Amino acid sequence: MRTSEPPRLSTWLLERLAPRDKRESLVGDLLEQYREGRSAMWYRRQVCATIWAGVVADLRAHKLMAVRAVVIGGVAVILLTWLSEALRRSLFPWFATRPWGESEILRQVLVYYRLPFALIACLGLVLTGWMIARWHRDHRAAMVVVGALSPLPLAVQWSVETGRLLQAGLWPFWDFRLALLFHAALLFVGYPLCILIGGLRGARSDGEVASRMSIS
Amino acid sequence: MAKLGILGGFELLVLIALLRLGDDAYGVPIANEIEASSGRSVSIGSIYITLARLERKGLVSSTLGEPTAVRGGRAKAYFRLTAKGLRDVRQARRTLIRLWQGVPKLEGDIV
Repeated sequence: MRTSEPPRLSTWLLERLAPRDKRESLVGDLLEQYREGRSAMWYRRQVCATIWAGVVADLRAHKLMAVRAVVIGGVAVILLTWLSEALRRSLFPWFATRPWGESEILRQVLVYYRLPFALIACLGLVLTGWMIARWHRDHRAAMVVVGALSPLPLAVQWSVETGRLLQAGLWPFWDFRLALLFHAALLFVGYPLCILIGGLRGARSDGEVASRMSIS
Repeated sequence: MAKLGILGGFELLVLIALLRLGDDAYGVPIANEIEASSGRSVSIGSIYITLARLERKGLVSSTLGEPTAVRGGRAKAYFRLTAKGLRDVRQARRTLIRLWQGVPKLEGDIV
């Protein structure tokens, strides 16, 4: 059944990621059209087209700013990867004592999947996306999107190196190909997604900003 | 789309839609006008992005209307051509007419 309210997620995204100039009027136009009988699919298409058009226009008009967002994302990825790897190496002697006892699951989680370290990197990248959104308020959708692309060079480098190791038969953990897939998914999808999620968290709608200002 | 002087093709479409709509020019009718004339599907967001660019160039000015309930309490943004905008549209029109006059008749053309 069709309601008078348009799809909530689309509106939520529109209020945060649409171009800032006259955003309220734009949201009002789409809402008016939806209430006059346009479909939910039409509404979603308009929201996607609007966000995409804004991203493209901002990237064309603010190339230096886009480079800055990529550099911020790239530096964060390198620092977080280095930090989690340093942490893992420093804890390695402790791992060797098998502090998890005989638990095979814990051994896999810590040694092959490096899950706690991946989580540290993910949290750091959520924070990075949040910062990119806050530092580029007028062009945040575009800057968060290009920022989210910054882990990809690292992902490609990792893929090439891992591929070489596999071809040379030097990969020591043949029984843990799933862990390899996990790392690939993390680098190609997980890390960019974390930056996008952080960017969305940092992108408050104008209505939220106004209500917070009136409270304070 | 090709550029006509300082105006892009889509910018010119938006400016002509503003001329046709007069005082009722806001996002939705502008998009409808361009869709009806060009047969192209147009997103309302791209209309706003183009209008913002035209406003920065000084070709368009805007005013906010009254917020209404059907729009969730959000005001319409009405747009008008400035004198500079009108001059640029006329210039683009003259350029197009001059260019077309030098084109041999196209096959299947009604002119």
